[in-house]
Amino acid sequence: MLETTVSLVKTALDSDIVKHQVLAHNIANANTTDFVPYQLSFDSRLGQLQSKIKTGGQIDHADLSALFPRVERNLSAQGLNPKVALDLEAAKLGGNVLHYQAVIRAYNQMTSLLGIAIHEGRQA
Amino acid sequence: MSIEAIDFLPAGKPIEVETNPTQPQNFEKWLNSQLQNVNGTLINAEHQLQSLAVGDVENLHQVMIAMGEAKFTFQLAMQVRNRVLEAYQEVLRMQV
Amino acid sequence: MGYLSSFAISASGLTVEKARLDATAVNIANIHSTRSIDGGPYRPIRVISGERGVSPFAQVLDTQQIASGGVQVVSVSQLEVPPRLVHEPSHPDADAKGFVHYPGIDHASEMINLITAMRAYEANLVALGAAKAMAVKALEIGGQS
Repeated sequence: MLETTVSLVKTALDSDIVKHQVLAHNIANANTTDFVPYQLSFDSRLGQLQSKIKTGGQIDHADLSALFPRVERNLSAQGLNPKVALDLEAAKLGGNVLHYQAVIRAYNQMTSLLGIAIHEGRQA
Repeated sequence: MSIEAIDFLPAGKPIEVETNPTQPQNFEKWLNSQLQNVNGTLINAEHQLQSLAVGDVENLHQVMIAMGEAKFTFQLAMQVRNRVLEAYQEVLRMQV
Repeated sequence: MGYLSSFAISASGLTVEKARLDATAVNIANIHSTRSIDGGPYRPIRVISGERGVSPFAQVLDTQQIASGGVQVVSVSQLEVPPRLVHEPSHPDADAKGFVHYPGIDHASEMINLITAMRAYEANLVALGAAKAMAVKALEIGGQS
């Protein structure tokens, strides 16, 4: 189970980085005329992964790819002005950062717990 | 708002203490059940981390609390284990 | 450097918006300039920006590509706007009919451009801060007890 957890954590952090880059790209191009912003979307495979985790099913490498969003142009934004809602993109950034930081903190807690086992409860 | 003086506790009403039944307890069974508890907290903590990674948590504090719980129950179990081992080794050192 | 790509994207945004601010500043400074280098009244400039690292026509983004993303200045163009004619026969640059050709700069739209550029600049700063917060947290992996 530990191997699964570590793979999950790595994949989750990788996908958060990708999400950040897409949002940063949209913000950088907010004032580019005729820019079509990218949007992040997830398909049903993420829901499948989540329920697998809930029910304790076996997770393989194919399941992990569900964590990466589909990045495609938001064609419905073409008529809008401004094309990029800066406040919304910034809010998404904030949520993303929080997820990244929370996963790292929880992962650190888990590894320190393993440290207790390895060091038999003795400090250093 | 008037401030009232502290009243004395009603006399003759002792605080009830939970008394354990005096039958001998099976140490092995008790130890096993406690270890199962600790194991449960560890599994729950890892599970919470997985749910957080896939974004399927209601709030962050449930994850952090689960982590903390796993950590201190495991530390306690570890200390108990260390004490038990120490006691066992002390018994072994006793000269016949 | 892959790990710095998030910073590079936001840095490019900051550069472009700063250029936009500078262009607006130049326009406003020259709002009454009747003599430009090429002769005639000053013509307002605009910064034209374009996507960097990603094809503007790429519909689906490969997650590898986005690391080289961001924005760049494509050109700084002069706008062909008709001059503002003001009747000032005594002005040295007045034409035969006594009209002075002032730059056709609309103060209000320059202000709007200024504010838009400022907001985008601030948003890019927020993105940069977010990238930094994530990087700092990543450095903490395995460090705590």
